[in-house]
Amino acid sequence: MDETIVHAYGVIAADEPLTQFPPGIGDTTVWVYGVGSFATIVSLLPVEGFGVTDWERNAANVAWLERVARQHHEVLQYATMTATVVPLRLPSVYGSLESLADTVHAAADQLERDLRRIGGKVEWAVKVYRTGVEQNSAASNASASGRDYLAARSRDLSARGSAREQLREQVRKIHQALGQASAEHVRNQPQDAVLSGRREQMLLNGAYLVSRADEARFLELASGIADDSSTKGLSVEVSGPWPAYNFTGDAAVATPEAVT
Amino acid sequence: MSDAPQRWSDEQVALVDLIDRVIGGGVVISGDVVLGVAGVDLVYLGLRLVLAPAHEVEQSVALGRRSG
Repeated sequence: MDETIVHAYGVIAADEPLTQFPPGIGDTTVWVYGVGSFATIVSLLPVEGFGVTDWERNAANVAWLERVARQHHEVLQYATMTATVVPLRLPSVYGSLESLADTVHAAADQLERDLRRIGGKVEWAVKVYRTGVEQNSAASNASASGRDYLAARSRDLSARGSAREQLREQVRKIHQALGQASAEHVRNQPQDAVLSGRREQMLLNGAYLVSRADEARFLELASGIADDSSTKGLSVEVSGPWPAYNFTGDAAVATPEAVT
Repeated sequence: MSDAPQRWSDEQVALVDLIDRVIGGGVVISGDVVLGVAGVDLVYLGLRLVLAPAHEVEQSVALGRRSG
C-alpha cells in the first residue's frame, strides 16, 4: 500500500455510538480511532496528493481547498446530527495514528471541557445585511446657493449619522435577543466581502450555541426577527445547524464582542 | 424578504461560510499538526488573491480572519 497520512475531522467521546460516515476527503473511508476516553474521526489519505507539500502547493488553489474543506465539513456535519463533536479546523493532518494520539492526550483537558460545553447543543449562524438604499440627498440638488447647500449638506450628514446609529442599535438588539435564546453567543468579524462576493454591507456575523431542546424556539425567534427586519432595510439570513466551530477550543474566548 | 433557515440537506454551504468556520474557526489541537498557523494564514491569503479578480476588491475590507 502507498504511504498514507492521517486526516482528523473531529473528536467525540469514546462512548458515542457513531459508526457510519459519508466518504471522507479524496473519497476515503472514514472511521473512528479511539484514544483513551476520546475517539477521533479519521481517514487515511495518500501522502501523494494530501501531504504537506500539497498543502503548500495548493494554498492558492480554490478548487482543491474547497473540495477538501467541503468533504471535511460533510463528515462533521453528518456526525453532528447525532453526536457531540469537537470539530477540528484545517489543515488537520498527522504523520501517523500514534502522533495523533499523542496530540489528543496532550489536549485532553481542553477536549474534555469542550465536550462538556457543547454537549447536547448545536451552533446556528445568523447574518444581517444592510439592504436599505440611501435616501436622496438634499445636498445633491443643484441650483441652491452656497449657504443653502452647506446647510443642507450638514443636515444630510447628521441625518445619515443618526440613521447609522439607529441601524447599529437595531443590530445590537437582534444579537442580544438571539443571545438570550441561546446558551452562548459570539459576534464575529463581518465576513470578507472579497470572499463572499456580497455587495451589501454585513452588519452582523453572529454564532449561537443552542441546546437541541431550544432549537425550535430559537428558529421561531430568528424567523420573526427576519420578518420584522425586512421592512427596516435589513436582510437576515439564518443557517445551521453547524458543528460547534465557534464554541470549542479558545475560539469564542479569543473573539471579543465586536464593537461596531 | 425572509428566507426559511438554511438547512444543510437543502442547500450547499457557501464557500465563504466554509472558510469562515472550517479554516478560520474551530480548534487546532497543537502538537504535531504538520501545518501551523502560518500555513493557515497562507491558505487564507491565497484564497483572497485567487478570488479577488472575481469580485471588486475593496482595499478597506480587512482580512476576515479572527485571531485565535
